[in-house]
This record gives sequence, C-alpha cells and structure tokens, in this order.
Amino acid sequence: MTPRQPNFETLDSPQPDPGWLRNRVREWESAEIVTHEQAGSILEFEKERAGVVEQAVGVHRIIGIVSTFGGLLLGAGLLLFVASNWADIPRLARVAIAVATVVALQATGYWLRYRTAYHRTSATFLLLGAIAYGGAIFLVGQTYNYPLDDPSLLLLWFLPMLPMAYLVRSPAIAALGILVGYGAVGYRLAEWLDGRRTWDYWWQGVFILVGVAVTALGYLHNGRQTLRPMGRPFQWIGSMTVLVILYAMSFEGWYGPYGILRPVGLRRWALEAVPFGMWVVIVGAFVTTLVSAALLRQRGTLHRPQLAGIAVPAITGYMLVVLLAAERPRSSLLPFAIANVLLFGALVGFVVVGILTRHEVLVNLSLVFFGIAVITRYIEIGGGMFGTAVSMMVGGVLFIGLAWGLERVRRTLLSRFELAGAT
Amino acid sequence: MTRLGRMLFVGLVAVQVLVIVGMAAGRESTLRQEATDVKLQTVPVDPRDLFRGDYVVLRYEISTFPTDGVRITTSDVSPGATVYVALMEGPGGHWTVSDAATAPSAGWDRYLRGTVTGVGQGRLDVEYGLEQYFVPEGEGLAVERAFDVDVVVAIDDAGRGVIRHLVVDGEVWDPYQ
Repeated sequence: MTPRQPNFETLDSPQPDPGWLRNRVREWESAEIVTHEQAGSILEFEKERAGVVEQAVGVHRIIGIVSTFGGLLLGAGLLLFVASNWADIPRLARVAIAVATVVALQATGYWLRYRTAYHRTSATFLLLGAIAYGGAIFLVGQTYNYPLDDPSLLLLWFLPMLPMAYLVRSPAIAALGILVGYGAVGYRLAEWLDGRRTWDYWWQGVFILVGVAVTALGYLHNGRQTLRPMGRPFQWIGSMTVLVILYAMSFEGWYGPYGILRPVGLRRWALEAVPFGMWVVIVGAFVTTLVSAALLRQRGTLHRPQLAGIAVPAITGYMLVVLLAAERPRSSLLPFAIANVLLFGALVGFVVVGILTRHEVLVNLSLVFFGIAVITRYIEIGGGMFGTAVSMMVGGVLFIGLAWGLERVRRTLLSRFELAGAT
Repeated sequence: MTRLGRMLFVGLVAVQVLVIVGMAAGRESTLRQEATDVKLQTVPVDPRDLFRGDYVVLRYEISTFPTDGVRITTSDVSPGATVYVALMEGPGGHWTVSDAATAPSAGWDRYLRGTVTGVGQGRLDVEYGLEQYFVPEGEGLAVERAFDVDVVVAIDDAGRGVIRHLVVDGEVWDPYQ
C-alpha cells in the first residue's frame, strides 16, 4: 500500500503524540482492526506528516523570533528618539505621540492578523501595542508630574489588558496583564502595609492566595481546546508565585529578632484597621479560587490532584497569615521549619499533581525549584563548614550528582507521560 | 473576526486612548486656571530611578503640620485617609496651612486634597500628589543645589493640585517651556 501524501492545509491542527499513536496502532493491529501493512502505512503517513509539521513549526518559530526582534528594535528606536528629543517636544505633542504609537501598533497588529493572516508578526505588534500603552501612561504621567509610584497607574494599564488578550487570543498579552496586575496589587499592599510591622506576613500570605487564584483560573481554561493556550500564562505565573514566595520564606535569615519578618502575637492585630481594599484582594482571591474549583467540579474536570493543587497552596497561604503571625516563638526555628516543610510539601505536591494530570510544566517547575533549593541550601550551610576549595569540590560533585538524578527522574516521569498519552 | 469582535477591539483601543487623553486633559484644564495658583515652600532632594527617568522629590512645609489650631485631630484619621487642607497666603507669598478637615469647608478659599501618610504626636504627615517633578536628564542637580526652591501649584475646584513650574532662587524654572 502506498502512503498517501500529507494534507498540508491541516498543519495547524493539533498533532497526535507519536508515542501515543504508535501504541494505539499496535493495539489496533493486535485487535485485528487494521492489518500489519495498514498499521505500517498509518505510521509512515504520520511520520512524514510529523516531519513536515516539524519543519513548519521551525519556520514559525524563526518568524516569531525575527518579528519579535524587529518589534523590540522598532520600539527601542522609537523610545530612544522620543527620549532624546523629549524636552523639546511640547506637552500636548507628547500626548499625541503617545496616543498615535498605541493606536498605530495595535491597528497594525489587527490588520496583519485579520486582513493578511500574518499571525506571528501581528502577535508581536499587538504585544508591543500593549506595552506601549503602559509606557504611554507613565510618559504622560511624567509629563504632568503624576506621582508615578501611585498603583492606580498600573491598575489603568492592567484593566484593558486581559479583555484584549482574550479578544486577540494572545497568551503573551495575558501574561503581561497578569504581571501588571501583580504590580498593582503589590504596590498597593506595600502602601497599605507601610509602617505596620505587625503585618509582616500578610504580604506573603496574600500573594500566595493570589497565586492560587490565578492558577485555578488557569485550570478553568482546560475545558475548551481553543482556550487552553490562554490558560498557560495563568498556570505558569500562578504556580511560580506560590513557589517563589515559599522558596524565599524558607531561609532562616528572614526570621528572628534581627530578621526581616518578626512573628507577633495575634492580640496585637487590629483587624478592624485592615484596609478595605486589602479585604477585597483576600476575599476576591478566595472567592475566585472557590468559584473556579466549583466550575471545574461542575464540568467534571476537577480531578482530586488538581483540587489538591489548588487547596494545598491556598491553605498554605492562610497558614502563613494566621499560624506564623499568631505565634510568638522564642526562636526563629519554628517559622523557619514551618516554611521549609511547606516548601517541601508544595514541591512534592506539584510533582504529584503534574504526574497525575500529565502536566509536564508542573513537574519541570518543581524539579527546577528543588534543584535551586538544594544548591542554595548547600551554599548557605556548606560554605561555613568547609574551606573554599573543599566546599567547591564537594559542591561540584554534589551538583553533578543532583543534575544527573534530576535528569533521570525527569526522563522517567516524561516517559510515563508518553506511555499515558500526555498532552 | 466577527463584527462584534471588531467593535470590541476598537472599543478596547478607544478605552486606552481615553485613559491617556483623560490623564492629560484633567491636568491641562487645571493648569489653564491661572487664578487658583499658590506658591509653596519646598526642601528638595534628588534621587534617581532608572524606570522613572530624572525627577526631583519635593517635600513641602505643608507636608507636615501640627493638629492644634485645625479641625482635624490625630484620632480622626489613619494612614491612607483623605484630608483637605485649607491654605492661606503668608509672608513672602508662600501659602501655609490654615485649617484641615476630612471634607472641605464652605468658608475655605483655596484648599488641597491630600492623603495622610503618617500620624504622629499632635501632627500629621500628608502627601498631595505633588511630590515628584520630572526634569530633563542631568538637570535635577541644579534644583538640589539651589538656595531656595518654591513650587507654583495650580489647584482645581476639587482641591487637586498640579505643579505649574518651579521657582529656583527667585527665577521661574520650567525646563519644558
């Protein structure tokens, strides 16, 4: 039987995993659904097709890289031109330049995508337009002497970002929107917590809750194939938030009488003095997580591991806020130990969730953080125990071993994914 | 893209344009009301921040004031609260605090809206959104080294102030004019 030629028009459609296909075709052959020759033809056809897809994907990547580089060059040039002549440009002209840049970039992006179907190049222009909008806010703010440390400016930047991201299906703009939103919340939290030393743990706790809510929102996108790419920035950034904060809090230097964080007694809290906006963030993150979990459950797409992936960090956030801040330990050992147990639990939890839900990203993320945690612990502890030369040699051997071990674990896990048909 | 999608796209770009133009228009309208100018005494410093370019951080005499003699007390407000500070012209043409309350009073001629940043023993620290003045790169030091720096502020009907220009050692200093 002669293999048919692949259909080039369907190259954009999702491709089956070759490992999965090979296993399935062998099963069909065993079940005598297809003959040995037909099985061979199917695999040959898909192999050829996969090769063409690989080439096309490669070209797509190059286009993406080239257009992004071009866009960044254009943006940097414009910025330099405007910056070097800024003082000589009248106020209203500066506003006009800012507006024209934002409109031109986004209109070009729209035209490229919907009139000429140059998706990769259009994505670059749309992203640049989104960045230019933020830049315009700060440039106009600078022109009129707005206080640029006011979080409201970041909020103004954030508001149209996510609607725009969904409208043009841009994960990059979604990621930008989430990060700008984080900035707005972070700035506001810093303002609310300024001068209130008894609230040291609030910042970390609140951001873990926000990270969990963002991750849960990311899971919500998995219900529809077309929305899945839009969920990835939420899952990535949300998971990273939780891990980064837990990792940062796992160092002993944070705690104790000379540390940055000082656990305080619950009775010293004045909950009525918590600013309204802070309650909005905490309750908003909590409700978002609950509603997302309920929707996933209703759709039947909330598996227990996913629920654990949402619930465990959420509980962790509250523990940080309540447990650590409520106790007044005599030494820094208790909060230090709690933070490390939480980090270890989160890393193991993420690996388990990643394996059970076949999310390679979660497994890789956890392994990377585990590696970083081990390396930094070694530097922290080993540096003081041995001399420089010995600690470097021992460290080198340990790290090579660690890298080998991690690679081995990763390979084992990923080969299981392949057998199970990971997406 | 569907017609609704096109309309949404145009709408979202329009929102961005409105935000940028709105930010400028709000301040422009205040700057064009010459009758409401006040001159404030400052003590400048000059930090540098890569993200924000060069700017002068301004601190005013009215940034900290005692609560005796004004309506508001330290127990009435906490950091983050909005306050209104009435101004009266003092010696040298500098405007100083004459009263302060959580809402503007009908009898006040000119007042600034501010945010409480600190509450001390019988005094309040207030920021008015006038604490940064952006200057062309390298020119901030000229302000810092000056003997006397005043800021002329235009105030709108709601008490929002906009820096019109600086007066450095008695000379109007506006690097963008």
